Amino acid sequence: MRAGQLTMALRNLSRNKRRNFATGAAIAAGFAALIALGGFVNRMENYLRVYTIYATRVGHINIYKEHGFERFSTKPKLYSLDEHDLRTIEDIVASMNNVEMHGAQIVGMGIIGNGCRTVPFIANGIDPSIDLLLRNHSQMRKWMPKLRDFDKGRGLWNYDESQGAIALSNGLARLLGKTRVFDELPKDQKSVVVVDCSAPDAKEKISADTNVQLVAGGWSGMMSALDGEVVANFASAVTETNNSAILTSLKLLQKLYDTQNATFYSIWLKNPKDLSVDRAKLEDKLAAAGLKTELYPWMDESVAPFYTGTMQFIYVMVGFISFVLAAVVILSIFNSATMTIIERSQEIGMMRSLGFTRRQIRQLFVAEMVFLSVISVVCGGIVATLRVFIVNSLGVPYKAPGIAGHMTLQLAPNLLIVSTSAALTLSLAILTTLIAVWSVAKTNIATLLLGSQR
Amino acid sequence: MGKIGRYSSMILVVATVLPSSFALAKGKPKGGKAKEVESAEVSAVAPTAEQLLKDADRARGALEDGISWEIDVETFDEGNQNKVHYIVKVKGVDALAEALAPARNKGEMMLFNDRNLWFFKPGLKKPVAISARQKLMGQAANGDIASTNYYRDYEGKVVGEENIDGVPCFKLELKAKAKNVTYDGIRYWISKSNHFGLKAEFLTVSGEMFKSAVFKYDNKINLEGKQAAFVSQMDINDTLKAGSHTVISYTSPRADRHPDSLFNINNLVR
Amino acid sequence: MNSNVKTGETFVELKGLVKNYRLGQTVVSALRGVDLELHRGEFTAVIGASGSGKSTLLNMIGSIDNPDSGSIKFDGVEITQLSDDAKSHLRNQKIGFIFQSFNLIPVLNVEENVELPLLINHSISAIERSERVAAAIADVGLSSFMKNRPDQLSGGQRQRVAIARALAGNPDLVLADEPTANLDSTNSGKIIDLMLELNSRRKVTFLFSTHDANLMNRVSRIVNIQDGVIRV
Repeated sequence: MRAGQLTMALRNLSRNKRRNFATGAAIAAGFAALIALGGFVNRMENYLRVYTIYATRVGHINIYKEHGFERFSTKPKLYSLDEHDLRTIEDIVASMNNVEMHGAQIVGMGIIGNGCRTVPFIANGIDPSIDLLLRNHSQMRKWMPKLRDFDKGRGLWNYDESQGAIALSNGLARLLGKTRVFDELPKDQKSVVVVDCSAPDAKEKISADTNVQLVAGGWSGMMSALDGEVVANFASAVTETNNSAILTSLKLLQKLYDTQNATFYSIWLKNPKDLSVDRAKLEDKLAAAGLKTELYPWMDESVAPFYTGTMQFIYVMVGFISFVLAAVVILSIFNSATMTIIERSQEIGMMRSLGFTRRQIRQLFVAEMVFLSVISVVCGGIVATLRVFIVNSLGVPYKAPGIAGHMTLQLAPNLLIVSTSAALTLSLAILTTLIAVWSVAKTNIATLLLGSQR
Repeated sequence: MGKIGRYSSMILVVATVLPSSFALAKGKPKGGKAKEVESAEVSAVAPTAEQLLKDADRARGALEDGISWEIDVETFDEGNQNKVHYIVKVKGVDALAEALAPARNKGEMMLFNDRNLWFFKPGLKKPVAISARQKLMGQAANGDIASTNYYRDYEGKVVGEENIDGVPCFKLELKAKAKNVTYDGIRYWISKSNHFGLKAEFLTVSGEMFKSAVFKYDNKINLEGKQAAFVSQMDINDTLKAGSHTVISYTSPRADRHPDSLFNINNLVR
Repeated sequence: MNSNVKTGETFVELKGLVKNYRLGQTVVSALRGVDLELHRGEFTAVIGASGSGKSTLLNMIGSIDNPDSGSIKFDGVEITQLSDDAKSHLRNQKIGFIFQSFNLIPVLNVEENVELPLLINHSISAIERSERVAAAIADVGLSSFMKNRPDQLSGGQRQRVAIARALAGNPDLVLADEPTANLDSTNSGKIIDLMLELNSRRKVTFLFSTHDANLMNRVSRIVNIQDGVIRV
């Protein structure tokens, strides 16, 4: 198209200002809504991704004993990684370039007591130095700053192994009446044995120290128990575990379960985009070393059911909303374009008489819609920016299903979301206009020239 | 992780034996002497379920205030074999089981105060309360057979007669009287001749059997000059896991004097 | 200006042209076997009552409608067989149109309106385009109104712009359907004078339909059409 045709297209926007404004507003609103939706999805996806990989220490790749993922809970000794497995894995992983950090983990259950009451726990044991690295990871700082820190107390890495440091989820701490953490007590504080658990001062005595007892079945079949000291409390990201989660060192849990084995081995990558490549390499190396293992990437539904389930739900929901939005915008554009074309049918006839081809007529109307859409998208972008700023500033708390505590409503659109939304909006506008103008351009010229007369 | 269930039941099996001291404490007049029984007296009149349960409980330890015996608890589970030797002391509604061997378990104690069960071991700063019904690690390999005082804890009904290994028995259906009782239901076979409990099947809420036990009574206990039969073996099988079972062997049952302080949890801790 | 025009040469031939229209349940025969030749340089009026087929005849010649049967040759080329794009090209290069209701683009000024048909002619440069536009506007006497928009012009001036637009492409033939119908008598006369002048100077063939009796005295040829048939 020549400059003159483009000029005409642009100037034609002023021919029905009210209608074009309404159409433009619909496009702008649709675009702004797409950005907001995209920002919401982006934030949720990143929150859950970081929660899965770093906060719950799942790791980008997790190595289990063969069949270990399904069978570990019933036969832990048989389906855990033994010392030889762990040594071999560590050697292999240490030789891989894309590995940021790695380590064995143990998970288990038992009961925890405060001298009067016992409640069940689910424990996760990891090398405290790795826990430190995870909490300080840039992704955690960016997406989950609140969950990075303990609500009370200091991290396990600050304590000697012999102290039996454990961190309790907030709900579990409340259930046990352990209202204080180790550092809040005097250094020489001795543990307080409650003589009468039904006495009025029992609660006070229970909270006077940070000592708890962990009891569990050892993997060799004998019951085991040991002392722990509550050094920190944390908010479990998921409601289900807020009343039962314990975080402690790998060694402490190995002692409790009377084993040197680990449930699985986790690897965190520097560049997760190469995950599938690294996974394949790792599988080959492990097989070559004679180990019978299974690898689970972090986004596997078995390993991260909360992430996959929640994101599937969000994608479906947002997809449906976007579909409805698109339908509204399309109908608005189609209605507007159709009315415009009908009103200008005589003009179209005239231009065809002058020699404009059908294609050139369509181009003209599409050019008009492109101009209108671009202006609308820019306006929509400004509206979206303001909206994102306002929403994020308000810090609206809401209760998300499955997540303990409240989440803050935040929108995090990125360049990809904005450009995709813009491209989608423009494409829809162009396509809709083409559909509206297609048949008119093919109409007999004499009929067009008559306008409403015939 | 499932081993805890097995182990817990191991402990609780010990507690099972302790049990009947409740019946004894409730039923026996103060200062009274224990009944002499070679075996349960068989009345010409058909016995009631309550009488049968009382008699069966006596043969499993509900005999005298102040008893001691030793038990070996052996668990067999998919190639894993563990054995712990305990000494058990009973007085009234209280009982204490202390592990004597192997070395790794030496000093571990389970204390019953009525229906409260505590676990303690040297080095722990505090005892741990364990519920008879509580599943410690998600599976109870041998179930919670703790606090088993069948006479006190279950409503019994004689539903028929069957032979167990050729021995004619009364068959009883027991339903839990309270919610904190270990099982919701038990099928119990009691010998017609001597009122010994020979076999028990432990049931879920829906009435499905998931554990069973058989008993032997080769021991004799000397009470004030009289000999009474005493349980010698209890063999517990896990219905859901073939090959998984626990055998409790009883030795040296005897009358014994125990100070009350022995059964005080706070004394254990100190 | 077509300097290569051979005045009097036949360049448009119509033979046996038939066109029917369906109006609801009724079929109207607009043309019933029309034969006609147009010669270069002619200033021809097509006269006839309303519904006689005047507009239909012009539409056929201008290739903006298709006959049901018959032949139309333009410069020896059978235009009824051309593709739509080829017809568009023909119209752009060889035919100019003047409409009864002017049909100017309201958002474009005089210069831009006149330039419109040249925008899609890729065989001429921007400079030549500009020159042609200026010349066409000058020919209709509106050089001082180049930047005015149609809503700033009178009816007569608007029709002049339409004439300039029709001429900008240096067509062989200008078709005007009732060009003075929306003008008063004074302006009508002026428009016809202008068309005559352009016909004479540029040697462009004019074929227009009209009711206006005043025009008939000034044309070189009259084609009388009645009930879809040309009357001699």
